[in-house]
Amino acid sequence: MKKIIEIKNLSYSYTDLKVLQNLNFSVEANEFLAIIGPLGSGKTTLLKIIAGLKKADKGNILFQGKNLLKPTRKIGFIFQKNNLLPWLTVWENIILPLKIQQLSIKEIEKRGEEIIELVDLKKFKHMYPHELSGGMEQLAALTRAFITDAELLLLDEPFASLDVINREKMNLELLKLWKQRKKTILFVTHSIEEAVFLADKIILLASNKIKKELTINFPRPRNINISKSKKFLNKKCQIKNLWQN
Amino acid sequence: MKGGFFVRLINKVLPIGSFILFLGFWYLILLIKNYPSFILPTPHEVAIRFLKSITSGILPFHIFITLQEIFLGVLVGFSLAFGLGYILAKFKFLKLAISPLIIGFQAVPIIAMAPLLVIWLGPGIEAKVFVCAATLFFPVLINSMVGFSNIETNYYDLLNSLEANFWQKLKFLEIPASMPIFFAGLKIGVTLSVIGAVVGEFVSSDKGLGFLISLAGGLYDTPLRFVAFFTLSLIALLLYLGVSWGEKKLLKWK
Repeated sequence: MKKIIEIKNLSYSYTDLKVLQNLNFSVEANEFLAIIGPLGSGKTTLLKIIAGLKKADKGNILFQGKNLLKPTRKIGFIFQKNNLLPWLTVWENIILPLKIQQLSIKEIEKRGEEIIELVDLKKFKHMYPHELSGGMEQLAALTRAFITDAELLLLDEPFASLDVINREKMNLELLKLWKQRKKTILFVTHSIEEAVFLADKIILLASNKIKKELTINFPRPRNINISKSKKFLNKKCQIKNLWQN
Repeated sequence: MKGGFFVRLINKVLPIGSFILFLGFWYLILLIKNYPSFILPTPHEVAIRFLKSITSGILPFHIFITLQEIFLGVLVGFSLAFGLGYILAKFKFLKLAISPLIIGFQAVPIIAMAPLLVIWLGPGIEAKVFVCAATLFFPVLINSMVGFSNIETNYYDLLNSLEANFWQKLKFLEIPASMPIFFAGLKIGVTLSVIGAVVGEFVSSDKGLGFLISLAGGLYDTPLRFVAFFTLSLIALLLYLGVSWGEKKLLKWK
């Protein structure tokens, strides 16, 4: 498979505090990679560096074989906080990336309607973000990221603030969008269960380094029942042990 | 529903009630002190003078002159203050360089500067517009500077990741995000501008509500002075309500 992004010897520190040290990994096209690790392990910083929003102290990021030097539309970002612009309606928020790209109104309408239909947000279209539930807000933010031409999406604990039920729902929505839109995803979370359920590959970050890379080979499409299987629980335990040691 | 109706009714009745109370208090002072009309006229004397000055066309003429100065003053002062607020919020080194100057100028009483401004800019509308603009300039500037500086960096991250250019950031983020501050500033601005226009007219003018106050003072026509006071208050109130209405209509998302 073609590598979409390669991280080579990446290091970053805040003054004296080393946040990331010598990271090396790659993500293949259409792969779903989860990065897990304890609080303060540098997960968000890593995503921001990949997005071009922070500069690494050392190392390279190759995106589609080329050195990545600044933010690009080909890499989308979904933040911990949904970042929906409060003065725009759900519809206006979702089509914002296309407006920035200056696509024609016809094209914007077409792509917007198509995706809003897919995630079932049509009846919330004219609402403002403050009128939505937390789950709906995140779904709108997710939809906004998937409407773009971005080939790689960086998701920074997007569902961390949701309750378990909504989180499960959002995970399924995410898999649906991912399957339909064929994007590569780099998903940061501190939930082992979420990572095992969603990803093809998991990177465990600890003490600023990659502690382990694991492959998750549960068949797709996945549904919520697989999280009750013995294999799933074993995988979860294995990662938990690695995390704790 | 019933509770809602009563709350709405009370909200409407309260301002009227406080006005009636104010008139009662006024009559009470007159009853106790027994002042002559040229020191403190009765409310009904003021009302009669008000009607007379309306029908004679004196009041509408002076209102029109003062309103002209207010609108121009707000336009100039507000645009400059809001624009400079944006620039200072964006460029920290400029903020550092200009802040002492701004604070220093803010301390100069505009009423003391007004006679000089008339000499510099002439006796026409320019000096009055300048005084009016200067009165509202500093509060609006500080307000907008703080507002623009406080736009969340997360939103900038989002627009940067979408490769938005300068104008797109202005259009989709900075202008809408600054709207609440814009209206807060405008509310301060329009009320202060009324004071500014009158200060300008006090110093040198032969028309406008400030001139009317001076004229009435010279003629010992205190009811006319009160007419001008109340007209100014009414103008400030209407401008404030107009801005509040605009805010409610435009900031539905709040």
